[in-house]
Amino acid sequence: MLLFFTSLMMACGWGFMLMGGQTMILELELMSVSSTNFSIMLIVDKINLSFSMVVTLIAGSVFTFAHKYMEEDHNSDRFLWILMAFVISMNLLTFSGSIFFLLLGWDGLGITSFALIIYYQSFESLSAGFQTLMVNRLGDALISCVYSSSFVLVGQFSFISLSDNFISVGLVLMLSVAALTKSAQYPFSSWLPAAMAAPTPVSALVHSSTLVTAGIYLIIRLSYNVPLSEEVKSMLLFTGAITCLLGGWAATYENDIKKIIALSTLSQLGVMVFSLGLGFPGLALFHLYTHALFKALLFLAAGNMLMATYGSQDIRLMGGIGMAMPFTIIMFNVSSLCLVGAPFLSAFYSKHVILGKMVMSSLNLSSMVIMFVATMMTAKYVSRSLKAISWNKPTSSIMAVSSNFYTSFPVTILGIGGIVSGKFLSMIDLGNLELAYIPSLWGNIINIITLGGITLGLIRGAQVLSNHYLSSMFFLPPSLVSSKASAFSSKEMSSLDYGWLEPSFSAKNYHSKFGSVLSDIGVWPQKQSFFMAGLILAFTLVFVTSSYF
Amino acid sequence: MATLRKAVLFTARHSKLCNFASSKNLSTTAVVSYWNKDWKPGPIPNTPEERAAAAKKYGLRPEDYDLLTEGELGDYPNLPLVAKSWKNPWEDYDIPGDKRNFGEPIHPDNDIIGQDLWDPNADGRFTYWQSLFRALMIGGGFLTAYLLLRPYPFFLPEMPKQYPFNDLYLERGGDPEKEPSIKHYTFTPKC
Repeated sequence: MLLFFTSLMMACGWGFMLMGGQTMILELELMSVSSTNFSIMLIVDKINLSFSMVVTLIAGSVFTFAHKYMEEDHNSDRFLWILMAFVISMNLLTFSGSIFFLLLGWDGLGITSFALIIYYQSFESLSAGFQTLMVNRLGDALISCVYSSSFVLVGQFSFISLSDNFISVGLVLMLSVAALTKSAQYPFSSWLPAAMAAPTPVSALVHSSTLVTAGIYLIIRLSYNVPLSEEVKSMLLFTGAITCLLGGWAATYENDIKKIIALSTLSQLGVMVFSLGLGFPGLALFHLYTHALFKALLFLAAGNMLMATYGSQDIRLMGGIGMAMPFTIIMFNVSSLCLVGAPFLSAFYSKHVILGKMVMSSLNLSSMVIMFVATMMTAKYVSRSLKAISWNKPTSSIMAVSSNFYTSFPVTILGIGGIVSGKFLSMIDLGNLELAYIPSLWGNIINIITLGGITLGLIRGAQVLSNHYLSSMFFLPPSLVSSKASAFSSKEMSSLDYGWLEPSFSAKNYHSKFGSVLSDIGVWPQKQSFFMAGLILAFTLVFVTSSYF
Repeated sequence: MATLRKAVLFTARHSKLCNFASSKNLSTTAVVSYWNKDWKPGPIPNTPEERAAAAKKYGLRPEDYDLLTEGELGDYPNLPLVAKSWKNPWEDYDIPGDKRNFGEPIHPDNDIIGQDLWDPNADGRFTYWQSLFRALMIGGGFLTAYLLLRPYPFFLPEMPKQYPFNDLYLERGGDPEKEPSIKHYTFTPKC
């Protein structure tokens, strides 16, 4: 309740700041050494007020949901307090105006996210938490480097002091790399799918909308003070495109619903970083908001389903779950369509525009081709999981779960956010409204690529294909997280497990083979799918013609 | 007739459910399926006759039958805790995926010794150096493509925006004496 109230307050503050176009800077000096001030510095402007509004709104919904989801847990109070500490440190990070103060929120995020990942105490969650902690440590070390070098070279810590000189460019480059570790971009992306060992409310709040976007928020915050140099931009363009591709591609081989959503988050973070690399920080921020809303919705809907299946996360066993929980499945569909960038849902105003802007700008050809393939992959895994979950025949006897206030209210709130936030946010703040002037041919190419991905997902569907290169995110986790890689540090580490890679690494993969037989039960199209086919056809028409609006 | 139809429908549904439930036993994923009260372990056997009966019930020889020390599971036998990966893979099992024969009692800690768990001592499909090499190859390949294509960026050819009144020459503070005459073609059909 408090969080919802805070969110409302932030919304009012945001409106106020928008009308006045102001920025407030509060500085509280702690001590000074020679001429260097160690101070707590807060920046309050429209960016962090709106970001904090979205964060607290999602946090309020997730707390409401966690009340039901964690009710049988013995330590649910402790869980809620850690989650609260996370929200507080997120807000500290949001409002921080200097590197000195940023470090507080940044480390707070690292510690609380580790505590949340290892909440279910098992070997798997410990290794996932450890992996997360280690990757985030890299970013922390870089921020500490920036901290000390800005003390030595610049003499103060505020973002405002960063200007367009040589030192600042180096500092911004280091901060950007630190941000990439937090946002799980290409060389550092193996921790995000592993972090799904955390409880679902944590995944909804931490690993979809807040923690992983903290890095992107930091780059956006920097880019409003210092124009990003060409080197930083091309680095972001490169890593963003590859992250988008590998997240999407690995998701097409995944059967665990939470991991699919985690990999899709990875892919969307890639889109945001790509848009930063193109030079549209406003658009990246806008996509961050819409994505946070619909991804939290997707996670909460998945959490509702997990309550019905008693923790079975395999999408091949979730067919026909919509019979037991129609409202949840509607919301699941809505947020999945947001993910594709379906017309007039929230991501249409952000993701689709980013693709349009990509065609409009002058950029590296390889990044553009990668982004097109990644868009297709996004559509493919979305339609694949939708086919397996909501358009399939019932595959197991699922108990109906009585939906109550605590499960349906947050889903409703986020569902409204997921549907209208695109239009709404671009109406309130015209800074979010970007237009891409591209020939209709290119608009159609974007749409056809998306539709091609959807069709591919429907054709190949839930069959299990095993391709080790693609399903392991181009061999990233086995190279980074392996007994060999960490053998020098300690002997215990040699039993680190492969987490979500386990089935691929077992000698004989009977499990997947059996699963493919099971998934053939509900091969699409079925006899009763005429209505569904008509619906898809209508949707296709809307999609194709949307480029003329 | 209605009764017959109902009975046929029930049988169809029931048989499908049974098929599904029996196939579910193959899967190691936790699923919701029905549980039969006859599968519940019986009371702890005390006499040799009861022990022999219990051993027969679980398909064991009386000599092999050993009771679990905890006693929480009634007459359930104490089976050797041997990981599935140690069992012969070439034997003709009824359920090859689980390396288990039909009716063979499973260990209470079956989920720990199952073969779908990754054995930390086993070799993966690829050695560490192979996978590291491939990861670097793929990352380096993308980087090479990016760097090679850097001089040839993608762009849409476009012209500067056209404005009326000689591209707003006067409005932009141009010298009225030297105003050029610029003609933009609009491609509007003449009526």
